[in-house]
Amino acid sequence: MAKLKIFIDQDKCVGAGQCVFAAPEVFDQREDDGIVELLAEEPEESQHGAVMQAVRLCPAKAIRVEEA
Amino acid sequence: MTPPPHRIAIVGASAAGLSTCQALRDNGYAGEIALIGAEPEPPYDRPPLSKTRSDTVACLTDVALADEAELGRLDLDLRLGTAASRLDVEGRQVILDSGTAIAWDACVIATGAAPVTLPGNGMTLRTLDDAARIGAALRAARHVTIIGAGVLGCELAALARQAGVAVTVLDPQAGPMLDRVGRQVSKRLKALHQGHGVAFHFGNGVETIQGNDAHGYTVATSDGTRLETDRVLVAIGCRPTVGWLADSGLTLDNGVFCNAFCEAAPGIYAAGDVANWHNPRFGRQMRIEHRMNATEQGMAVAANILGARRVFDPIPFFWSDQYDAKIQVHGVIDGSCDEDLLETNSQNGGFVIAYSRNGTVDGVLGWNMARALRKARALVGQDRSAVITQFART
Repeated sequence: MAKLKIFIDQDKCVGAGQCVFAAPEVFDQREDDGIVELLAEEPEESQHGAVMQAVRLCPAKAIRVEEA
Repeated sequence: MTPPPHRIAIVGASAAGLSTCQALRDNGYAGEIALIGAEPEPPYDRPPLSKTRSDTVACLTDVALADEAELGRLDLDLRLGTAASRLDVEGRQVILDSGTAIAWDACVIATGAAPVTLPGNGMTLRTLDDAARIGAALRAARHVTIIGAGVLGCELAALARQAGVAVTVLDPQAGPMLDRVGRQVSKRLKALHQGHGVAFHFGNGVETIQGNDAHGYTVATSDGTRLETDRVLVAIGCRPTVGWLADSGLTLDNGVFCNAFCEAAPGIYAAGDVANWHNPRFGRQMRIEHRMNATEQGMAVAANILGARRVFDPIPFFWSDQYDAKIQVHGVIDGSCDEDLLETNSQNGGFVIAYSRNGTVDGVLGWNMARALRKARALVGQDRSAVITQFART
């Protein structure tokens, strides 16, 4: 499988934290306002399924992936 | 064992319907998908319509849920601007208002909900068109009256204040969002809005709305108050869109009545605002009008259509942004729950509250506490007294 590159939109993010539930090794939330932070821009292949789950679940559609 | 479906009709082209399409393709389904939407626009997102400042919701591209490439990948028989008028359960087809019949061997009902209206020209918010009309109204008005202090009414009040418009909010309940967030948070919300200049009239229903855009409106309440205002916004809740199913033979009871698999009848599923399904985690039927549920239930339905046979037992989630307050709730709470303050943040005034019923935590709410709340979700389903003890120690 190709490499995956993740793009987050912190302006769209509503801090729901669903991405962290789905892929805790890839996403985190800022302490003060809960806005998404990336822990891994190009995650391991073992994380791809969880990342796609996060993309789907995000209620603000703030996560996008591209095959790098 | 029924053979896997190869023709799937999804009625309703909003978040739940699109989520179902995406999950079907993600799961490898290669058959036909007809996606039927009453609105002319391709699938778009509704929360930004009330959660973003009205002058920033410019056009469809800001809220579209799928771009051209994604719609192409989904390979849909996309039928927009046409509502379904009837579901023929026996004949396995859905009839559109154009008269066209679409055959299916699995069908998903995702027709959402429509705002309850009042006689007399009050504006409601559901669609992109509605948002444009309300945006124009907020630019034209000096004072608006909002009927209903639920989530939407409160968000509209915040939007209007941020647009510099004077606001009065009416609700027969005793406080804002009372049945959504309980007593303590309702009180905080009331103070927050009042601090931003919102005038509240609680405890009385609306009797009449009279007037027009050119000369303004008079809103009369049950206690005899008469309010003069430039525009009236009505946000008193939604009803599931099930009129087209009246003669389908399906059980319609607060939406489409479904089992724990979100199944209304063999091969017929419901997802999103319209679905009243049995959530085994909470042991009861529920119908959830939250954005998150539309996505998750669409995914669950797609999996079940393809044979997963998994119960749908989410911890529901919703959020609301008002001024600088971010309110988030995991679980199912209302004004009758026992409320326990678990955590506070002295720096920003944030807090987390647990809501319990019969000694079990049914939900947690965070006020500007997103990160702490995410961890608190794990408390849902736990014993209330154990949770209180645990937090008293920390």
